[in-house]
Amino acid sequence: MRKLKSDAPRRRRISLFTVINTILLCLVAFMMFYPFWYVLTGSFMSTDESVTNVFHFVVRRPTLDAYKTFFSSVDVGRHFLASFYASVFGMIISLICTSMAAYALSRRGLPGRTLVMKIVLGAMLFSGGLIPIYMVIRNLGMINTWESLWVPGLINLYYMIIMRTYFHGIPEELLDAARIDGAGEWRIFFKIVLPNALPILATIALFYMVDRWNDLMSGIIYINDVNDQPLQAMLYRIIQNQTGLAGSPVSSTVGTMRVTSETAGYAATIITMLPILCVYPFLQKYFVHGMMVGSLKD
Amino acid sequence: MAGVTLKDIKKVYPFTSEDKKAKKRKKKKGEIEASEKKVNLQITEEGVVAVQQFSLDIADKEFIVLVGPSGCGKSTTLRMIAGLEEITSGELYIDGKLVNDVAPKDRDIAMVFQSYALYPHMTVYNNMAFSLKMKHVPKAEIDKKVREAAEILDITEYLHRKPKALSGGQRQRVAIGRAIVRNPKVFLMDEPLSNLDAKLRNQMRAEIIKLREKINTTFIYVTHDQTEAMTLGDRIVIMRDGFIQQIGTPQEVFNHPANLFVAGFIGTPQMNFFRDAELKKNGDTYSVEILGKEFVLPEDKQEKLRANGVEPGKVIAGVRPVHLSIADDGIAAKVDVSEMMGSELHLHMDVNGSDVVAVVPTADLGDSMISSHQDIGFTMKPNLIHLFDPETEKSLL
Repeated sequence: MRKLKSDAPRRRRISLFTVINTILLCLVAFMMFYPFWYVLTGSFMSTDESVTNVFHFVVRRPTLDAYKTFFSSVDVGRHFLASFYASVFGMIISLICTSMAAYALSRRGLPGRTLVMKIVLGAMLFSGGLIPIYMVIRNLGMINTWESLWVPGLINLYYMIIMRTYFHGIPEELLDAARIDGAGEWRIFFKIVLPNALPILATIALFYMVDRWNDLMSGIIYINDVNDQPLQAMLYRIIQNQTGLAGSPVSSTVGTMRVTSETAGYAATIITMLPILCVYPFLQKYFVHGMMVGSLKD
Repeated sequence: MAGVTLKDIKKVYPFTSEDKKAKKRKKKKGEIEASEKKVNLQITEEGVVAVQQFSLDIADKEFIVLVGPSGCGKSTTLRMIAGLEEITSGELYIDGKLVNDVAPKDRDIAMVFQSYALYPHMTVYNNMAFSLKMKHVPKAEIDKKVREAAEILDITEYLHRKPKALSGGQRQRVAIGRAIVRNPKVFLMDEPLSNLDAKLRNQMRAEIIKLREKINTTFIYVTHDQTEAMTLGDRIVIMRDGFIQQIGTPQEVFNHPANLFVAGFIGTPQMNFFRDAELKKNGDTYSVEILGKEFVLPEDKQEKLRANGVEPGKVIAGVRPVHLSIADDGIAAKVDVSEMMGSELHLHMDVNGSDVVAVVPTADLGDSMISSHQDIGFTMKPNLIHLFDPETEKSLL
């Protein structure tokens, strides 16, 4: 039987747009990935190789020297603890406060809700500024404490608005059902609202965690004792030393680092990135869902 | 188990600051009157009036149905009984106690919502047990009550599933189960079947009737579907624009509608209205002329008209489609559309430019069918004619 023309498998035509698009996206992906790859491979290089092999893709003679030097010269544990405290404990407190504020502002019955939202939006546009915030922190007696790493940004208003949008989507009937079932407002919040908001909680938790983990300025501004500063501040001082700023007061802390190559800096960067890289895959599914909040009809 | 009494209940939603600003803007542009006419609700200086002059006595173990079109205030009334909406004025009694300021959880009521409102993160078992846990009921008793309710509703095998793994009908059973485990004084249902398809709705309607026999408590049921209202209710409350239009048994509201709205709302297909009918009086005898044919009214209607002192003149006559019959010497009409519904034929007829619908049992027609564009004649029994005042739209009978 003669095969009909329409039955023949069609050859998929690739348009010029698809080709250019793919090339562009590959370039962007490369630009994103290469700095990470550069630092990762650099951290496994010897001092000599890093000097000769400036623009590199692979390591010829991998070594853990940079890591050894880094761990032997810096009290990573204390810096790590500071970052961990701000990122995990601070994140939990921030998440509780943000979700409570967002829930309250998402309910129609709240008197003065519009006014509060206007103040919130105003505060987003015109923040207090560094010096007034510093003065508040100083007057609260929080200078040189780890609380200063998360208290100033306890509620991120942008995250609060994202959460509020999500809470808007929780049907009022669900809350009414809980009210009739005998639950009070606190129980409704913790037993009904929060368990139904896991995607947005995970997303905002990740946001807070990454923000606090990567926060350099708070550590430098509010904590004078270099031994108490978080990881990012330590990393900053290591890089300062590499770029000839060794005369700074930090040089004593990372004294031995001065004589090593920049590979130790790469090792430090990788060490500081690791915790977030470990957490991200577990939160990713919630993260993507949370980013889509309000964009599609359920 | 308890009765519910509503005395002159009123609900007004005050204007929000945005409403006031919008009103000012519209007033400037002269749009206010047009926009207010678009909605069913009354707008006053106080705000938007959703329910007013609502008085009703619901007896213990009575099944009462609030029915009306969207925006008539039926759900608002139910939410006020549940305690989910504040009552602007009036008094609400449950089991003889004034409950205006009592929290929903302390009213001893249970409610089934239109959207089921099941807790998505809990299993069916936990959904049903939640209210009992809130009351600190011992675990063994919770287990007994949940399993008993599950048995009644035939959902025992789904107890460990989450709501997303259930069909619409199963979810609705869980929602009912969640309400019955509490053994409430009053059972409130807010359009519980409107999310189901037609077949499932019929099935669930029958199950609600059976359930009512089993648990025998006071039911207040809200629906916009008059079939549900007619089949479920001991009494029906028909609402429109926040006002009660009529309260009565299904037979009463069907046979003796209080006004034009009730007459049109109850019954499918809708009652035919003849707006140019004329009421005549010959001595002591009333007759009505519809589309040129005169019908002498039966004695019971004569007496009512005489008692009400109705003067002859223009009236609106109403006849239900099922009360029209085919008659060769009747009013001449042309069939626009003939719809075969199986046991009956729905005829959409054109009579001098106005639409008239007749429902004819196919058994009466035998082999001779009536097709579209056919010329026929129809008539009506005078005892089944309803008369309404053209100005007040109230029944004259």
